[in-house]
Amino acid sequence: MSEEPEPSAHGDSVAEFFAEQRRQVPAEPGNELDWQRIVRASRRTARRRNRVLALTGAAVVVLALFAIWSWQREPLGGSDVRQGQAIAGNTDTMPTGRSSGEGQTVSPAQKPFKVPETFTTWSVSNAGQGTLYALGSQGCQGSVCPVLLRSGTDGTSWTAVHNFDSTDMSGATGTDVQQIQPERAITQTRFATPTTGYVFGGDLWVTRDGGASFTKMSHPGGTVLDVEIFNQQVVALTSDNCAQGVCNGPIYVSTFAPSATTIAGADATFTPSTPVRAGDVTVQNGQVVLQLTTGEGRSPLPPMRLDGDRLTALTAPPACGRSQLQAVTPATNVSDSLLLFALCDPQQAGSSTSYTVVRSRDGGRSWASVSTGSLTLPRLGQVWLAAADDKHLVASSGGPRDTSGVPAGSGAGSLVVSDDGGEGWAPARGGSNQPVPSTGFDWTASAGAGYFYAVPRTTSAFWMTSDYGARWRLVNPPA
Amino acid sequence: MASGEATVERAVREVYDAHFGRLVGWTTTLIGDRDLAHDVATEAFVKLMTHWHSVQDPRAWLYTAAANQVRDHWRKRGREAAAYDRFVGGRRTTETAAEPALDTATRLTVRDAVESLPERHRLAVLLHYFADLSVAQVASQVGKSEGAVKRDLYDARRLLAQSLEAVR
Repeated sequence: MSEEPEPSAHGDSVAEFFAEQRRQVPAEPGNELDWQRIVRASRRTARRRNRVLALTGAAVVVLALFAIWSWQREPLGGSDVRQGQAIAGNTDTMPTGRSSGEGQTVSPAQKPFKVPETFTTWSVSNAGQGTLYALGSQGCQGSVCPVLLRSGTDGTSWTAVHNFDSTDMSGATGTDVQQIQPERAITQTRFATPTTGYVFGGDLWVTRDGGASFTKMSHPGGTVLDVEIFNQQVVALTSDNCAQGVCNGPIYVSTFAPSATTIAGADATFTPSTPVRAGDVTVQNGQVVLQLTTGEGRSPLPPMRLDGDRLTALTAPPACGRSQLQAVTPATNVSDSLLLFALCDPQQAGSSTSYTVVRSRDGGRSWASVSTGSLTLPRLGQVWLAAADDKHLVASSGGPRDTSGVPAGSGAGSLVVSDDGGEGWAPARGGSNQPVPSTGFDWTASAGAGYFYAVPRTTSAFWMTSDYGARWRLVNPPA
Repeated sequence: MASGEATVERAVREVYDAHFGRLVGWTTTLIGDRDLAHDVATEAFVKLMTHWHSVQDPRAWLYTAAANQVRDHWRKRGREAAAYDRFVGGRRTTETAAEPALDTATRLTVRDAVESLPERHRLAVLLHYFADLSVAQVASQVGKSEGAVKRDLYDARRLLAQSLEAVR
């Protein structure tokens, strides 16, 4: 253990100033009245949860009875929807949802409403059949509330479908947004089909009626870190012992079908040796890779592949020097095997960082170097990599920005595209000549085919391309 | 009342007896409003009770929760409200003609000092220098290494030393 004294014990002018200020802090013992106030508030929170549980249970019963009554009057013949047919995503008018009774808490069906003018995009998901969902924030009573939007026209027009007004968004505002959110937070969305999808932050909610209603899902661990979906397989990354943006584990990896009403148990469990500040998971062709981000200055953890009920660390090749792999991403259009790309060996130079790009064609067991130093991104926060196939890649930098800060400067060059498998990179070209956000992009992903999405999280608009990154357009839901 | 709930309340009560009054005073110094500070401290204890099973260092946790609320309050109130506070909060009664980033009035407050720093240094300074948490405690609360916290504090101390020199 170091014998070095604490900075506050150095006896310099700064230490003396704060020591004097501390001495002047008034202290009065807490009284019984204040204590009772705290206890009442705490119990009120618990009672409110129980009351919601009871009310939603009653609502479920009523809705179920109504559903049976409706079905008996008009069994599947009174609408254009045929039994077994997915509701097409080419209309913004969604059917009123029915609560399924799964889980413990239901956010009842809401009627579609106009996109709030204050909407800021936080997360985007392509549900197929031209249907996009965007989760973001709107101002509500001096704070922000998450709201889910739906577009049946591939982003051309939008309708708000669900407002979440009982969430804890205290950790999701400003530019220093922690990826690990408190309980009751909702910051991300992923959809499996135009009707079935999830929203999550600290909590996990599922909808089966296109976002009209949501049901809270129980899951291993107290906090949800990430959810990803590929071909009817959903993967959730969750953790216990999370507080104030950091999780100490155990961390759980759970796979389940979109039809599941609850996550019964974890496929694998991992206890990190150091607290983690973010967790990301990818799934492609049945193979799951998770990546945990540790705090600044702590030893990074290697990405891990889920092999049955075990997690296998992915070893970086010699081309990475002594650094770990990061931003591991699968190519979404490769269906018969697992093609992975990753970055490593970050080299900082001024306000930018260059990376080595590596590729694996065997699920991360071996890696080949693609390029060294040709991918350069401004130092704006976390780095994201997305791949459509063995040629087309997109990389970005931006959030989550941690509170230690990094050289921000400009966002120029924070979204770059490669059409030669990661050997060469060029800045994304926006069709509307919109400047790249100064804080970069908080999330970038490939949705299959030629689709890539890049979400700044600090603006109402997000960026998307449908031609493998050749041309990008801004999608602004409130416009 | 469930026995588990009673156990948590007893445990939090001990922390309350030891730290609530001081936390109110600490927060009052930072936001200049005792009632609001009282609310901040109360909210921190309500959250502590909710998260009790995952909290390893209650005092450090409470001061971090309060510091985060204080920083939110500073951000929300903004410059205009801060100027108002200078008059009604008993902080400063005179303004310099051209307001610099850091006021050089003869009496520097903790808020002045902390707000003169880049955002990335503020929490560590509040927790270490003003809440008297160790570097290890601060590192655990903010999810950084001790080395990173020490670097932040070193940078902050260099900037603060200049500010303090200016008001002498």
